[in-house]
Amino acid sequence: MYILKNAWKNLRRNKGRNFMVLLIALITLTSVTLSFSIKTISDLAITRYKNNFGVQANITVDWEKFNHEIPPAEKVNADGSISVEQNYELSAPGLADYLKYADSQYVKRTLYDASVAFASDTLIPVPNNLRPGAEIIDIGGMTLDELKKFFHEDEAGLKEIFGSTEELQKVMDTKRNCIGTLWGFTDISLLTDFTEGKRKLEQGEFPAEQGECIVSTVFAEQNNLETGDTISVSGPNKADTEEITLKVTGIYADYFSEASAAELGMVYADVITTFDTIMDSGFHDISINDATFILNTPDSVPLFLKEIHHKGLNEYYTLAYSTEDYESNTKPLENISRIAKVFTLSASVAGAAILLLISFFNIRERKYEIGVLRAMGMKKTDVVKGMVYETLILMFISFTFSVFLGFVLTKPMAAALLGNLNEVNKTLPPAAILFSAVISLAFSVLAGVCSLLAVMRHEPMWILVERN
Amino acid sequence: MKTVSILTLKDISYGYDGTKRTVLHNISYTFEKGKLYCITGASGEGKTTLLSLMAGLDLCSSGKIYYENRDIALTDRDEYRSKKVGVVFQGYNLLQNVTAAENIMLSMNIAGKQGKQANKVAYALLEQVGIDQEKADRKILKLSGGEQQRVAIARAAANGSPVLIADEPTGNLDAENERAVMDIFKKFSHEENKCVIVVTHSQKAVGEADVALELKRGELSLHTDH
Repeated sequence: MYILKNAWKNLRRNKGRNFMVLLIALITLTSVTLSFSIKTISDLAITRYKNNFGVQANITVDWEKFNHEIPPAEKVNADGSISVEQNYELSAPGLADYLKYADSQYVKRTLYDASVAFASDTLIPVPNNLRPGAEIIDIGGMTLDELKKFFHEDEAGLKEIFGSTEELQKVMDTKRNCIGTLWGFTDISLLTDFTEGKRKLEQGEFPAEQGECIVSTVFAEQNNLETGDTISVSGPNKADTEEITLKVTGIYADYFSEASAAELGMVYADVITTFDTIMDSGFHDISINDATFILNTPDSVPLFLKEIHHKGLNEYYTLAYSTEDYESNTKPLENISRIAKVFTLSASVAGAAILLLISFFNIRERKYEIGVLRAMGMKKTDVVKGMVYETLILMFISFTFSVFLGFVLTKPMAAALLGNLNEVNKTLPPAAILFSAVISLAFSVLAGVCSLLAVMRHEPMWILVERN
Repeated sequence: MKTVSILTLKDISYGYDGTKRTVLHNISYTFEKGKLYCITGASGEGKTTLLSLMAGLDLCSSGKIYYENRDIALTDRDEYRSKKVGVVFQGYNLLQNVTAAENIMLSMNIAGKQGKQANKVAYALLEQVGIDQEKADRKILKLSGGEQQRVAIARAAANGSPVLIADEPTGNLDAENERAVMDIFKKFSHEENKCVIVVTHSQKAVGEADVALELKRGELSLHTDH
């Protein structure tokens, strides 16, 4: 106990020297605390971005490989002209395939855009004059008469798709008369028509839960619908015997140009719901329009590609991916994090070097004191202990103040460097306090080692003889 | 009065590392409790070296030093220095940025004596060597040479050690202070039954000793003029 008391007294006796050590330790520890905080906050933001963004990847045909390995064959037509024909038929992955691929450790989540035509016994279809391009888009959305009429006028088109009107009839025999399309999305960000201003939510909210939907103003007027009402729809196939009930949570208006509206056809009969609603409907003929895999990191891309090929994806399909979103968000933060890390290490090393130098001079100055204490019979370990206590007290004071300064300065500094990130509001991260404590201890150990070496090296008699 | 030996030198020799020259040759002698010894000798004869060996600050090249029949080379020399022997160094070797009383208390703390009682003993010891409370609370640098010498003596006695060794304790003192210091040593030896060994050039000091020894050409013998 007397060693600790003596250490405390020694600190008060040598105010100048100890104040200098205190100041250097405080500057170092504050720098370390702040830079470590910035690093921690940046890393938190990077993690969040990585969780949110990941790398977007879509399955697409690897045309380069495909054309290289299976070159298209030239075909001489009846009229003598030459056309190029690809004889190999690529089988595109279906819904079940996508669901199978999405079940992977490399996939953070998958964004789906699926659709299915719907029929209804109670809803009134949007009149044809309000859906000018209806005939050319989706048989699920047309009546059988409309289809027959269309293909009668275009024999070649009919033949190309169905082979014959008989074949068409066979297909149509399994179908209901559909009056619109049910679109299901996993994420609101996929509703590009809305983000691009082609559609606008006039009332209510986007569907968030399963069984919710939004309808167009035209469709709503036609059926006298308001938000909060429910609609019942059934699948496009006669085998879809069960109806599903959807709650209208919002009504949107279409702002397509006349030309694009004509191209889109069924535009006013689109009922937008969630992907899960469609998946759980049990309807036949659900088609996946788009599936975007959000992979963990850019490194996951080749691994995931290997995995989906292993799961059965045709070898001529590959992944188209973009790390742009991922990198544009994480790169600046990664740079700040890296700079903060370098600064933390530099400050630690510089602080350690300065304190080492001070310790060295300190011991030279205190060599006589060490000699006297040792001559009086104080054990080497007790002499070292006393010096370590002094350093520990100084480091504890510096650490306490540095944590206080960290609490005060981290937020404004992080805001200045990182902008308005959510993580900036977290003030001083506990990891920074812990790291600062570790550095304080490391400095104390360093000073202790210096003291130990000095005490071990010098025999009291020689210190005193030298002095005398 | 029955004599009790406390410190025995048996055939001790000492040579400095790296040199062939030995300063002490096969010295044997037994010091007893309750006596004041003076060791004289010309400069460079090895008086301070001999004291350092007896104080446990260094080890003999050959031979043994026994404290109460125990070889000090085989004991914990830190403990020996803190509890068995008190040393008054030639240059006092006091801690200069602390007070006289704190110097004494630190020595007692090292010897395992702590608390308020130690505090009282420290002031009493200083009083005994002529340092009053006001001076006891002064830092060492604010005391005169003679006062520092007394503090050094008080510190050597503070750990309650049975052996007190002093190296030229009167070298820098005037006649009055010299006599006062020797009186303190006599008191320690005769009243407190300590073994006090003083290295000195002073013939006056030699005159006060119970036993006068001379170190000459590395050998210790009784002083011929005593």
